[in-house]
Amino acid sequence: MSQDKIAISKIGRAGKLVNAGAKVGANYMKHYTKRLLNKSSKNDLEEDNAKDIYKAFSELKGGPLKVAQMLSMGDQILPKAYINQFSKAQNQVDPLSYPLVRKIIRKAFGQNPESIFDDFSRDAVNAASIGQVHQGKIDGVKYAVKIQYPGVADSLKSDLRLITPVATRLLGFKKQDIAPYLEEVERKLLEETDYNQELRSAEFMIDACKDLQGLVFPTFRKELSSERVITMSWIDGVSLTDWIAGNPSQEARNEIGQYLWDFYQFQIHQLLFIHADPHPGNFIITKDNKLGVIDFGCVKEIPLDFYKSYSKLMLLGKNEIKSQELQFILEELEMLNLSDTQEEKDIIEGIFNKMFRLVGEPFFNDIFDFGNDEYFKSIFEQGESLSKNKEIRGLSARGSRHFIYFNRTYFGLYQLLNKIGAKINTGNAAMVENYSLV
Amino acid sequence: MARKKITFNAEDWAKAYKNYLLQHGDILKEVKTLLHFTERPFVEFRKSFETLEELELTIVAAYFKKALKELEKDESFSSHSPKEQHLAFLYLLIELITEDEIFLTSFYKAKMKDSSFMIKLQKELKHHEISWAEMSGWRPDFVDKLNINPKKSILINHAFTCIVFFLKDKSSEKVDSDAYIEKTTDLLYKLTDTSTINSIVDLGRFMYSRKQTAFS
Repeated sequence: MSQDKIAISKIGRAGKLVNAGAKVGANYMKHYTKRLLNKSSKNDLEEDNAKDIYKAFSELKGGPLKVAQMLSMGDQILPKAYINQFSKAQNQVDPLSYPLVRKIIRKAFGQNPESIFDDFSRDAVNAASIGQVHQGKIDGVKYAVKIQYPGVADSLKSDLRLITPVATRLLGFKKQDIAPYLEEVERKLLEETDYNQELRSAEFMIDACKDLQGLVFPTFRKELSSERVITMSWIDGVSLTDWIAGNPSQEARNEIGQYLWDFYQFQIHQLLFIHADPHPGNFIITKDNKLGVIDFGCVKEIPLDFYKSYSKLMLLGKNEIKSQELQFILEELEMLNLSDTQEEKDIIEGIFNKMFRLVGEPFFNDIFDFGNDEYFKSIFEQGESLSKNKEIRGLSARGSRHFIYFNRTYFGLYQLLNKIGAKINTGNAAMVENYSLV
Repeated sequence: MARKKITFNAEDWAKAYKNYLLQHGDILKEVKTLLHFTERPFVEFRKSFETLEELELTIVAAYFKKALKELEKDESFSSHSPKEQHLAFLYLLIELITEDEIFLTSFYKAKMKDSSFMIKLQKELKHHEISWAEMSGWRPDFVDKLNINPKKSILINHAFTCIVFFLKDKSSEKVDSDAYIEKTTDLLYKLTDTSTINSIVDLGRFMYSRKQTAFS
């Protein structure tokens, strides 16, 4: 595998993205030329564009790669070609050299990895967006040693500024739609670069969730963890993606899906503190069909006010809410502004009424089949019609910043369950109701 | 009161030079100043060095020498690929200069921008054995005839650029220097990879040797 290619200077990093932009331009030219000859489809164009954008993001690592990861989770939002390319962000980037790994460990703990561990893998066994994982062994116990790429934290801010025009132009987002939320994303991404913070979050969550069924958590070695290195026990098993590819039985799918659902419902409704990065790379399936959770870098504390209002929306399909009350909830969630006209209020209300009845559907069924693609298709279609709705386009950007990671968690969870094809017990409406009324 | 050292060796002169620069914020212009600073006679200086520049070259070369010596002690070093060996050398070199960063920053401003000094420094460093700089495979005849090793020169110059980057690096904990080393080493090894040329030459030799039989 080739060595690390992190672009370090702002100009260098900007160059990468400009280069990606230029390539996308070239792809369009190629596409239109081929189209004259009837030899190119839109899929080819999207495939070429996605490859070039992914390549630029991958070489930059850090922020762009994280965004690529987030985008790849939005199966219903992006064209399939983008998803295929960006899904790579979940586990494929070039590794750091072993001498640098040694240096980082030596700097953090005063000794080379060979002196600390009885055995230490020279090559990374896994690569993530902001770090890579090596395997170490002490007294026969295997450990995962996650090492952060150099300069990641310093690069994030400028990366996000660079991503904005790329995302708005190439991926068709409106600038005003994403700009207010970049600050929240930046804050969260910077948090992810502090492994000491990850260790604290992990300890809190593992302790709080220790009685939940079917979950396996790593134990952390504090003395072998620092701001840039984190050491935790190795969980044997296969990645969730590989496990799904192995075509497990429906029973096993349901079991894993249930563990995942219960884990998230507990976090959302009881802890108000969530593991906000539910992508397949963060989960391991053990031999005895348990769900291993291996990354706690991205967590989100949910403010009680936001939680209560959001939960009321989730219950729209169960409880009839008067229009006035719904508008009040939407105001609390900053979806409605005081300056909105009645017509605008009606538009927003109509959208949320429809959308949340659909999204909240799993809660009103004792058993819900997440493998049912029709359900996701209807969410996608609603999203599509919203994005094409001219009335909405005219509205200003709105919504609480907490929506970003909260929605990311919900949609990430739903999509994971869809990929797993799980049919599970989801009758948690009572739980949601209880807590939303606190 | 500490007793005055009987004689100064090369290391003591180097230490004194560094102390002078740190105290006065400028490099020495004359041996006389150093002698005055150390209260040592010229004859003693001449036992270790001919000129002040020779002392300066020794000071910078010492970081390289020390890094090479440390690597010799590292048991795992020989199992590294040449590229990894170069990386290990650079990281160690940077660790060593970190201890003298203030001195080297001032020294760089005054001396390391001077091309004649840098040429002499490179000449001095070429005497040291750098195992991963050995040239393998095909190379032009004149390289062997002139007994030169361009690869070694490139690697030494690369190390200089890493030092300069490190001294100017303002990132937190100088992490950008790590990225710079990774990135430039990767590029360097890709640019100096002669495997394609080797294949071309190999094919050429084959074709030439078979010209009587296969292509007649």
